[in-house]
Amino acid sequence: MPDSRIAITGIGITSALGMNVQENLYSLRHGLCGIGRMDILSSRHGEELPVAEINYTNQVLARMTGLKPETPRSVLLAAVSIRECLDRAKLAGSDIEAFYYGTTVGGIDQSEKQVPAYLKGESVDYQIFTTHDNGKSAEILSAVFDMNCVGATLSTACSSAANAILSGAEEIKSGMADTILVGGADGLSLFTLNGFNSLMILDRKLCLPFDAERQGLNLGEGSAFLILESVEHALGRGAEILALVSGWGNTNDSHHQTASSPEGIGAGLAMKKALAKANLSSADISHINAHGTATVNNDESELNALSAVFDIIPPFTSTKSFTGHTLAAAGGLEAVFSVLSLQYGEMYPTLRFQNPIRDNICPVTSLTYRNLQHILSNSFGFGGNCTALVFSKYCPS
Amino acid sequence: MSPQMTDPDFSELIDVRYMRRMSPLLLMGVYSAMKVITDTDDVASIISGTGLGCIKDTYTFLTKLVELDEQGVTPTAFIQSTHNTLAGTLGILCKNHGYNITWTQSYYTFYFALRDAIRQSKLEADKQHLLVAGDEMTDEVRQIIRQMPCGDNRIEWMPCSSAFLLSSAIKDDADWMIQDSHLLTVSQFEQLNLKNFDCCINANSFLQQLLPDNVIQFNLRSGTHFTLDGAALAYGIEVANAKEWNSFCVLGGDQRRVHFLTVSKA
Repeated sequence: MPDSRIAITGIGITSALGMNVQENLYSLRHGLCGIGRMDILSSRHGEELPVAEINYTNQVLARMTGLKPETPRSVLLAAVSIRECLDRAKLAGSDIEAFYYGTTVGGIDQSEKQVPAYLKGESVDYQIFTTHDNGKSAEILSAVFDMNCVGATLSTACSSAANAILSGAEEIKSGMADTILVGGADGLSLFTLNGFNSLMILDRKLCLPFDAERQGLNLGEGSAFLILESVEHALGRGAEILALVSGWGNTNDSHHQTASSPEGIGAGLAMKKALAKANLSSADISHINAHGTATVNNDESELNALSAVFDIIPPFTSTKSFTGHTLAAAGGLEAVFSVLSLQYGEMYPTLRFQNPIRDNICPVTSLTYRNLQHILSNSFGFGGNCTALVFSKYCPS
Repeated sequence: MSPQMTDPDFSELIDVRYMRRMSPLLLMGVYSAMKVITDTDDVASIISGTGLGCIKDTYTFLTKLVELDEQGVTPTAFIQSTHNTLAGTLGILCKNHGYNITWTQSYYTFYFALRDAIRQSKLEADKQHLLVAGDEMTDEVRQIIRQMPCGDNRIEWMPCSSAFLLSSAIKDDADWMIQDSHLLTVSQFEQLNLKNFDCCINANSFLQQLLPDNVIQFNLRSGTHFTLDGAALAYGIEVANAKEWNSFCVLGGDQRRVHFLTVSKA
């Protein structure tokens, strides 16, 4: 009988921790935080708001990718990690039969550079605005890599990349495609920086996920992609299977556009859905990569959801303490980190944690080695969007 | 002069307390959705598609950002500018904890949203799945699109919205069945015989010259937008019911690929 489990055969990543998997892994293992002073993005809040910025200008990224410097930053970052992902999977772009891409920023970082001149009635490069809409990013990427498909964009705020993974998994399961590229990217922009600042949920210092003293999140940027195939298909072409996507669940919190319900209703339901899809009980989960944004509301809500789903909450962490909150890309970054955790039996710490919110519930605070079988990764977004994914160690059946 | 569209009385189906802060896309999308939902408890998933999202709020936030030099901007427009605001709002209004996803892929947005809705309806065949698509337009954004080198400027950009309840289980009161929904290259499309259908409704502004006379040029009546094929499907169902057609097709997409959607009587 064909093995229809869903294999991950390629990963690629950029973040403030590094421009590939090895650099990210090194930073995670050595506790090197990517959050710091804003250098590339030019904002009047540059001195007061720390961000997890990738320390390459668009010009440098353009040279690395062969794209134009006016390309949306998210696309430049995505192009770097898609290249790594395809190479790791030993695939060409033309092997990709479906491409699910998560973004919220799209080309807005380029649009916002044109707006001051536009408002003054000065000369504007209208070509730039053609890259504004989110769908254009996937279109550029599928063309650049000569993919054998039309890219499809999901935009569900901070769960976008996680939902791209979910959609890819469902497509593989339903037999609609054999080789799928999934993930997401968001570059820093004035639009999102000022948007989150106006919501008053940005910490002026380094963020403190799951800490009683947390004041808010730090924005970050990055991209992360995975190749999904059925195990049967992967083995058939001799690919190395890095891990499995074994469960997924998406729900709506149905509470508020920007705030999570205090009980974490949607989050809890998403986790239960993912566990059911993976045919696992909560006791089977050995580690959780939490959403853990470090906002007062999110972390409290997520802890309540975890308490409702798990009799004993497994060791959990927020890698956003390293990468900042990379918005649409976050679910992709954390999927890659989950794969690395499974591969190397490592749990990466939540940096700077000191004071539990309650009941001595503490995240992992140092690099910890353990035989990990199943990892739950949470991603929640505006609009009450809640997604949970289960990644599992690959064992031949 | 700006093109005008007559809005329905949104307060027929939306609580006026919520209406005040709703963007045009939210008003249209929620109104369209409420028209098709009969029992909110029976809706397992909410799938939305929008090409530009709440572009009025995006434009507002961007201009305020510049005018106020990043100081004292308020969050309302930022919150609503998120693409999944419509799907999230419907989740809240319907108290629905189910699957809630938003697709955005330019002229192929409705194709991918429909594809997902069909997938969900197969996964939970005994449930109903809400598919809602729409886009808003403002004079300012329309002016920018007119200046864009690859914008579709032959037809006016206008707002649109549509909503459908899908189920894999054939119900007695079901009206129409989606037979096929594909993205075809233009050369693949040119090999089709559109005369097999009672009618063909065109929402693709780039196909104008390729189509026979008996095609309803929906885009010439409604104006164009990224999710116009959704509105064309809703229009087709309405006309087909009145004219007792047995099947029709809808054409969406752009100059590279055609969203070819075929529908028949259940």
